[in-house]
Amino acid sequence: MVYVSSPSITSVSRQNVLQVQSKLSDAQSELASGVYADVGLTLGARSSQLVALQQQQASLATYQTNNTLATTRLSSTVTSLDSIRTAASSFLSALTTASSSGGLTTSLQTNASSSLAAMTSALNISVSGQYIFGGINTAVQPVTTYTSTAANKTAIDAAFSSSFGTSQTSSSAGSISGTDMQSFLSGSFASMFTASNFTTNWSSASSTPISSEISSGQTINTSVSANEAPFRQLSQAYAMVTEFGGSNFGSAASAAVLSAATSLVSSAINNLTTLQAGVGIAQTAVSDADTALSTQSDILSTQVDAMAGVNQTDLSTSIATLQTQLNATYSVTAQLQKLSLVNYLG
Amino acid sequence: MGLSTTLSIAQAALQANANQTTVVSKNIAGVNDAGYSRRIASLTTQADGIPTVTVSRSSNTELFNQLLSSTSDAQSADALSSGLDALEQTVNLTSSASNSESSTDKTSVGTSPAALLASLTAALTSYAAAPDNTALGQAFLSDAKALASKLNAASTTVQTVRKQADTDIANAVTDANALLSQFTAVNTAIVTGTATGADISDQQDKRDSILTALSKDMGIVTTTNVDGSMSIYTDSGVTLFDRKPNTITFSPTTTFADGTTGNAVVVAGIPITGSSSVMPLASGSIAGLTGLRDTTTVAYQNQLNQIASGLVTVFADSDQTGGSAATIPGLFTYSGSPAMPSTGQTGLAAAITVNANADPSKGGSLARMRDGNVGDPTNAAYNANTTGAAAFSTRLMALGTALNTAQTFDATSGAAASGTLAAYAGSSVSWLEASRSTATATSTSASALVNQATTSLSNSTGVNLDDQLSQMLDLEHSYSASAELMSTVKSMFGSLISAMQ
Repeated sequence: MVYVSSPSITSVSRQNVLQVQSKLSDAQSELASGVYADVGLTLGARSSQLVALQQQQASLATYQTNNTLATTRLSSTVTSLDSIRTAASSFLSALTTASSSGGLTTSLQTNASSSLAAMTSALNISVSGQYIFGGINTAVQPVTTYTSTAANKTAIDAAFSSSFGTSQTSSSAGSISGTDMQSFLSGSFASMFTASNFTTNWSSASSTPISSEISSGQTINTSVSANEAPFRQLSQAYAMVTEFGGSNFGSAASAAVLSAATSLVSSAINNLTTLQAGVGIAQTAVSDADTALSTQSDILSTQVDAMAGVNQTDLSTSIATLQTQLNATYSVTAQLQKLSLVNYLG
Repeated sequence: MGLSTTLSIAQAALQANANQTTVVSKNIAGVNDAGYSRRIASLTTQADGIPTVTVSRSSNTELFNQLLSSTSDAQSADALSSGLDALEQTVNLTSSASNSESSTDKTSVGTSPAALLASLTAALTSYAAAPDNTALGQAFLSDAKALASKLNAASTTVQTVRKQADTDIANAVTDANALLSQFTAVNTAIVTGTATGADISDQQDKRDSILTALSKDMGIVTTTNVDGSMSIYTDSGVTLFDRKPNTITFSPTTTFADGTTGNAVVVAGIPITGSSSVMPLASGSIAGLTGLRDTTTVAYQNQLNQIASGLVTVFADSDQTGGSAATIPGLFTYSGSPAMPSTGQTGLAAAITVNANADPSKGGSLARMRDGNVGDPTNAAYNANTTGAAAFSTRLMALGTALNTAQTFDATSGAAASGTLAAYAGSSVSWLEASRSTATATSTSASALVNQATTSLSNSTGVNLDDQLSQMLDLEHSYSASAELMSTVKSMFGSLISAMQ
């Protein structure tokens, strides 16, 4: 004989209601958050994949932020390099004019001194507190400003006086021969501007440029050091003309200065062009990396969405189904409650 | 045969009817009592034609035993599943997934050690890109602190779960002892009742209720003896009750720390839980809680320790000059510094901290993270940045590389045996969620079985109200008939007496 106890009739519908209500509550939270109500429970052992995707997302986002910094630094570098090159070009044409018109002039001397000041300030620019031409030594202003008491100026004075026994502003400098001048310029004067000696009096910059990891494993140099060859050459040429371009020098000595300065500036302009090309390559690399990063980031978002996200259309359908089921359960429960022999006993 | 015989049969029928009505009303009273078994009143006619009622109690031993074992299974699965749910707080994958879904803040990846490790890695990359930027250094330091305190907090959570499990075991033991002593009284009543032939249905109901309650605490098997008494054994075969109860003893542990071993549950000198047990309990909440306290949480704690020791190793400071200065804990340190911790050293996740030497708020300096001399700032051998350059990034980039280099972990920890620290932390999340997923599925199906067994047993031994009511209608009819019969006999006697006058 089939026997059904009264508690089991009601308990079935009671459990059914509880089950449907708990599913409905999950579905509602999924609708609000867009992800599974309990992601860990749904993914189980695949959870580490989600964690890995999120780790990658975080790392991509960091590279993107870092690249913004690198981009700013590189474009400021380009602006500075442009201004330095323009000044150098106009100084070169002034030198050419001077050499064809027969000698150094006071205006050329002034030009040299102001160009040196302009280059110093261009190299000393700071972008959000960082001296961008300082190499990795970004906390210190890289180039010593050329003033009468500055170390770079006094070193030149000392070298000159030890070579010729007089100061470059003295009238006795007029007796210096072209050959002596030439050997001084290529000797003790030039040695102050070699890569190893430049940091003694002229530059506090580090020769190590800032390198940035622009995407995972891809590291490039994203700054230019003030110790690079063209800056040394230009400093040398500007200082040379500023100091030894006076009218107190003899014409042979002046010609030696002019020739040395011309060759230095033209070589510096070539080197600057190469340097700028390098910066341009770095800019392209950063922008390419950014494009790749944003594509990767989109792919990762899609993957995260595919793993943890719920399909909103499916969800609304299932909510509707659950509501129907709940309604049916309520109605059946109410009907069953009415069905009792007690109601028919008079 | 005479009228008086008819009358006495009718009287006996009324008596029987009253007995049957008592049974029906008793059944109706017990309709919603889960422990109540339906009484069946059967009417038998004796040789002299007088009807009598015998009351029996419906029972189904097979279904009842099934209910007991499924209840035990469900309890142990539920204990494990609840414990894992508590451990999931340390990961909280759902909130991290919904965070990244909102996509306003992609750098926030949740609060699990794996997620915080990802944040730390990202902050390190940022700081390495601009080591002269103190704000980025500060961000890196605060991420490091967040990770260290997360490992501390996760470790505390694990030990809290263990402590809670230990307390729950103690409660279950107290409960089981109380049930066994109640059982003694009921068992005696049944033995006496069986001997004297008294109605023992109520005692049997009581006994079944006690067994059902006991099966929640521990898996049990029962045998019934000839005299009606019952013996109870654990599912592993240790005697819990045979004529008299065996006392179950357990001393709870006051505080749990990493490495603390909880005590075993002992029945009459025989341990039924723990590694020393030769007859370990297989089901019931005590078995589930013991598994949680001694296996699952210990494995997870080991994984946290592995992550902690991995961190200390990656951020360790070593001699930069090629000299012989020992490698010492750097940014991440612990009470045992300057000794390096062993892989997964016990208690490391609870003890790991960020070195004060790197923390400006504690008199340290951010620059030491850049230079590589966090562990010992006074020893120049650890300083990688000899020129003191502000944007020196070599050391920070080396840390980034070390963080992304595969390490070896404890292969028995449940998570990956080797891989990067981030991958290990990820596999730990996987381990936790997979265990949780399995435990929840087991728990769900075990409770479905309990429901099924309850329903089957209820259908077999429970009360149907309509059935009882219709029986009552029958009784009403037979009562009317008997009463009618008596009234007829009375009028016949009346006619007879008046005819004689």
